[in-house]
Amino acid sequence: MRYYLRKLVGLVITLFLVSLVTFFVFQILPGDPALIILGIDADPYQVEALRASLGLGRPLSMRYLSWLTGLFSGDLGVSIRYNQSVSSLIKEGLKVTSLLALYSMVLTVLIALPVGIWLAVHSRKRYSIPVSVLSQISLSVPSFCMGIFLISIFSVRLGWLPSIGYTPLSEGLLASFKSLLLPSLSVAIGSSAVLIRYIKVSVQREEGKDYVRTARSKGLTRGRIMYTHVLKNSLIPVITTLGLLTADILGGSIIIENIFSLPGIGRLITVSIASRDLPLIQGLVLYLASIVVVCNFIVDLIYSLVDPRIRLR
Amino acid sequence: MGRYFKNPSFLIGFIIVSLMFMVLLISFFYTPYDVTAMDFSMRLSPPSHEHLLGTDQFGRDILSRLMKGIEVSFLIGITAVISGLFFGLVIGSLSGYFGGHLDDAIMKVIDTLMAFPGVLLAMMLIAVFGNGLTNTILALSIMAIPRFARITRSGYMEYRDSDFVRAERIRGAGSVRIMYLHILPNILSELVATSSLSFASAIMSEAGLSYLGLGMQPPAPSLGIMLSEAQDYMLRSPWYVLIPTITIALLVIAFNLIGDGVQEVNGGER
Repeated sequence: MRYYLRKLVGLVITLFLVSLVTFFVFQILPGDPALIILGIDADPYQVEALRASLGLGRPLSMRYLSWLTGLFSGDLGVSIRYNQSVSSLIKEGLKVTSLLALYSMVLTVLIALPVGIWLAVHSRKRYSIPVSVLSQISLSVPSFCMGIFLISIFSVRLGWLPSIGYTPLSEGLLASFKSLLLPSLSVAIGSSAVLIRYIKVSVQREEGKDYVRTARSKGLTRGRIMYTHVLKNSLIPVITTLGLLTADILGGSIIIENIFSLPGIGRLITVSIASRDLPLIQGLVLYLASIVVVCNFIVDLIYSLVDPRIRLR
Repeated sequence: MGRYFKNPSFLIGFIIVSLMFMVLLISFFYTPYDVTAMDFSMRLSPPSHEHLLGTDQFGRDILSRLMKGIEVSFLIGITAVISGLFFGLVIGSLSGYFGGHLDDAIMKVIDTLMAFPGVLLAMMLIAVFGNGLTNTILALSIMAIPRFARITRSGYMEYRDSDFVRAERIRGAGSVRIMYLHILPNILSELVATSSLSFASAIMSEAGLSYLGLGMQPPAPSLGIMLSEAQDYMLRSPWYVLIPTITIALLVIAFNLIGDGVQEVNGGER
């Protein structure tokens, strides 16, 4: 119980620090934020109005407090560029990004699980070398390079899939899936390479343990040991890696969404930074960072449930 | 040094980086054309004798721009690694060697910084400082610190109670002397590996930021800018988009291979 309490306190502190960083980084902007947002030759009345709506007249700590209380009621302020509430913009963008993240995650597992296990079993055979090399390469190729490769093959050469743009779910499941297939594949190829590595190492480590030798001496075949004993034990740590990959997938989707012109969170954040839309940037950054923090927390929890020894450390 | 060259990962990575580095050295003195010289009669011409890698939408020579783009990538990679290494080493060694509340506080800050996924931290800093070469370098340098700090910290935690450190302490050596003369050499190879991996991610982040229009600004030659400009002409001139793509991928792969190689030679990852 103490372990969970400590973890929970840690989570709250980290979230608090994240909000602190997100808020105060944008306060070191030199000069008047209202002028920076609107430009030097803006209408003085407009500047005054923006100053008032941003609450710039009040002291910094008060502004932080009111921002923080706004957070809890889901009010993140109003975007300057879109003139819409930040939370509704995030909600809109999330529809695309969560779908992209989900597809990427599913594809990652679909690719990594069979390949990782296969590599672990056949790692000493010469014919596995090309697969190792390929997974090594896909580990290193940046996801946006992968995206451009995929577009140039599947959209430009073969014309099988749309190159850019997003079709919402309401216009048909298949069309929507097709529009997200290449983007999620570009994310998944890189992250599956990470996962393949973990699976391979984990399976091989498990195979070296004593109980496997015992099972062997009992006369079980290697395949049977693999599928009834080794895999179960070795895939447990892999589950937690999946949680850690969420951060990668989110970070990767920022650029991927721009390459494929998808109207998600990543696209929103690029636009907001280019137009210095402070309330929107703060809201988005806080949102993304919190997702990562919470995912790490969940990973820790799962890990401790699966392997209770960790709670004693 | 010889044992590194026997490692295939390191060797391949080293060869690619050396080749790129040669291109970089040549680009200081010579590029086939001026990087910003436009020639509208030669728009988007395919590779030929005059333009080995063809020309872009303004008739600029792609090879020349690529050479200068590699220069930018290396410049950013080197500065990000040096500043990440320096600050990461100082922060990580203090945290790992002394431990206690100092360690707790520092690690909380590092963890907080690591909560911002991918290029988000750099994007945030660019939103504050504005874009351009100097600010991109600044943002990517700050982004590199947490990784170095973590690696250094775990190294120092491992060695701070080891026998040779105790012996030094009994001999009366000061903390600074122990930290940087005695412990540091033990984690040097790990820092080298991390440097190489950080170099790769700095190159990748710069290309990503410039692609998004948040890093270097046109008409400056940067691999990311070339990529984003080329994407519009994908159907008409596919080679144009593939050239910067392959170059970025090669650079990242090469530095990752060197990092992996160093780790493999020194016996596994931590």
